[in-house]
Amino acid sequence: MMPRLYMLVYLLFALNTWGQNDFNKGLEASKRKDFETAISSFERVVSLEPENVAALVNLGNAYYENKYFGKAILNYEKALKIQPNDVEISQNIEACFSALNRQEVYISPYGKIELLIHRIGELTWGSLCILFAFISSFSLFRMIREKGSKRSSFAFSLVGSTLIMLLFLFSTYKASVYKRIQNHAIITVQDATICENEMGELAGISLPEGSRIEILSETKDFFQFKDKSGNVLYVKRSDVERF
Amino acid sequence: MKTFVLHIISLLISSCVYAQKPMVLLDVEPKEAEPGEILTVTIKSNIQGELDIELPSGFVHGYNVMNGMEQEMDYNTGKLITYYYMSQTGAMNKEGSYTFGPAYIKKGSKVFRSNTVTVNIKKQVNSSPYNGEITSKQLRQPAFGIIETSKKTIYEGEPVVLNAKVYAHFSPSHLENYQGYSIAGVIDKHDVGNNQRILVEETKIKNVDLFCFTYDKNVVFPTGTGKIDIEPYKLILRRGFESVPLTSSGSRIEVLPLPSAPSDFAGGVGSFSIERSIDVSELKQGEVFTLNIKISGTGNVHNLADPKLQLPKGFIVYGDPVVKEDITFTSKGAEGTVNYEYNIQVTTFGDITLPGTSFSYFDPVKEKYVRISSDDHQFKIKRDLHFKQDPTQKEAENTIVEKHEIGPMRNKSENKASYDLYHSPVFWLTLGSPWILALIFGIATLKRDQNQQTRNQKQEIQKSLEATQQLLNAARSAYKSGDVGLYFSFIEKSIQRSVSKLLFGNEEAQLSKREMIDGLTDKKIDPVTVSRINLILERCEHARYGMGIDVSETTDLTDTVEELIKSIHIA
Repeated sequence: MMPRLYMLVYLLFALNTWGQNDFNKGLEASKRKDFETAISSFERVVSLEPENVAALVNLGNAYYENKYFGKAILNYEKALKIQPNDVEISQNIEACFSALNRQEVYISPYGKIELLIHRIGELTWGSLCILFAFISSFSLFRMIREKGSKRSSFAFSLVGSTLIMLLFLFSTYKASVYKRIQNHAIITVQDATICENEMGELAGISLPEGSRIEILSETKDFFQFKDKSGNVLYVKRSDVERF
Repeated sequence: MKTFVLHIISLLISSCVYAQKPMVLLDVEPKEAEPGEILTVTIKSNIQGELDIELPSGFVHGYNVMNGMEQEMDYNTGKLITYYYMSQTGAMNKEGSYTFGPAYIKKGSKVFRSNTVTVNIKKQVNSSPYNGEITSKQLRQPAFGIIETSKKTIYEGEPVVLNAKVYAHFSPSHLENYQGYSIAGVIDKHDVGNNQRILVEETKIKNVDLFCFTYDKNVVFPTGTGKIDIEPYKLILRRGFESVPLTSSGSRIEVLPLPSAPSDFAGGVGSFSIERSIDVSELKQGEVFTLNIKISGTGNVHNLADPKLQLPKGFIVYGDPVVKEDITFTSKGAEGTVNYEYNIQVTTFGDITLPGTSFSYFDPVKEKYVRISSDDHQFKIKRDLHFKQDPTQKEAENTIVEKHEIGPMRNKSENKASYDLYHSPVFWLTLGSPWILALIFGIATLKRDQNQQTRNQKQEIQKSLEATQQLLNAARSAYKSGDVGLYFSFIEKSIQRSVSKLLFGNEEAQLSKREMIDGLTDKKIDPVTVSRINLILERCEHARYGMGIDVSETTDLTDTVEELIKSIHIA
């Protein structure tokens, strides 16, 4: 048992060191303005640590410097998903919009309530949920013990605290799910050809690099999405990357 | 006379023996063909005369008709034999089996007849291999052709060189009716040093000696991606008057799509370089300078997009650039340079840096995008107080306007290790444990309270019984001393205390006999017990009111009362 544990610890340590080396290599390459090497180094870090915000931001920066604005936006979006309160990342996305001649302000793909839940975070929601579990269980305990009017007031407290606890539990669940659902995608090619159906019949329009779509469903070769007018369209999987 | 006749006879016999035998030979090539494929009908004869041939109905005559003659030495006789030939091309458009001939040659009153030839016309389902390799079947044919490709897999926009390669078992003198190979959708095709003369070489393939030559060499820039079929070419190969029509095998190339490109990708696939030159470095506000950009390289240089100038504010491009191209098409693709000459006016002043012009191209060897950039240029622009900018002038679309900057690189790795709180057992355990503990402790406390209550009740009953017992002992003593009144008084008191305790929880309540009997009945005490108590209470009443009861007339009721009181307490 112990040798296995040592092995596991060693492996984790080795992976961490490896990731750290690549991170530093990426930084050094960026300083030399060798953004191609920086991209490959940060890509390696991100493949090992997909929630390394700094690596994702740096990867986005390297792609930006190499004029791959679609890929840059994709990595910034990934970083924002983990750290939704980071203003600098959303400013980076706006810089990409500017480079793509789109004078736009960054708007999160999530709704206001979703964003609030996401920003507060799973850990905070979970902690609040546990706190209210203690309050409601105390109320239950007292309700069992007490008699008469006191019992009623504790019963009322039990119902109230349980409802709040359930609300926080739902928020914990939602915050947990946001990190994992990958229902958005970014166009990573210069112009993505849009099709009307899965057979590849052209719709006669294209989406520019860096555009964001919300994926409705997927097939082997295409992602189905809705445009601003509500039309259901298809884009080639090879032209987009989801986050 | 006899000798003369013998001479004449022998002369006739010898002239018959050595005379040329009339020959009319019909040949059609190939014997198996596809509808529309060129057929060559050749009639060879050693007699000259009027020619007529029976051709099958539906035979479409081609424009190529050849007549001629040639002489061959008969090595047996040492004589020269003259052959006359006529060849005619054509085609059959429908499938079927057709008989060509016979051909007739009329000389004087005599008509000479040739053989017949049967030709099968049928559609061949993709019989020609698309891999460009030579098959054993092809080697068995008198002549065959393939399409040579410089690469089998290329990237979109990358050039590929194609040429027709013809192999024959004989040394061909010339070719005719060449119908070149074709590629669906390809428009960008350029001739690469083709020569009208064919240069036949000897070669050996699979131990077979062959003659070969290449023809129709082109560099092609395929458009679109995927597998692209190159349709076969057709030609007629000739050796003297003999003709061999052939249809080559096809070929196939795979065009790979380019990986996702950076924004400054100019469409170039190959290897390129960029140079930028500016005629001045010091100028006055309002002056115009010339900026030259030279892009050279190999690949698809002819398809490169114009470079995008990133000009500082106050730099205005005058008109469209003058573009000079010096491009040649070789087997490497399009090779050469493209020069762009821009006239730029400076409307600002000060020390200004003109950032380098850059673009990206795809290198098919490295299989990645390469970004190349020219050097930056420094300008010293003197202020001209008299300079007034023309308000109609607009700055170039690509002028650098308030560029949004991205944030700096982050130096510290921040790995937000992925944890899933909601799905972790620790979370649910922490969430559920207070509830479980509350329930356990709540029920335990409740149980403890109940036990305490029961214990208290038992103690009280015991106390009450003890008090009653004291009264009964006093009653016994009174009975023994013969004091009947006192005796019944104690008996009544003990019953009253017990009933009072049962009905109201305390022993001190003053109850009438009626109240006690009703109370016991309400408490659902055994009716026998109630009637017995009633009887005892009646006797107590008799004694109290002095009915003259003597001790000798009464029995000791203390034991009965004790028994009844116990049964009340149990109830």
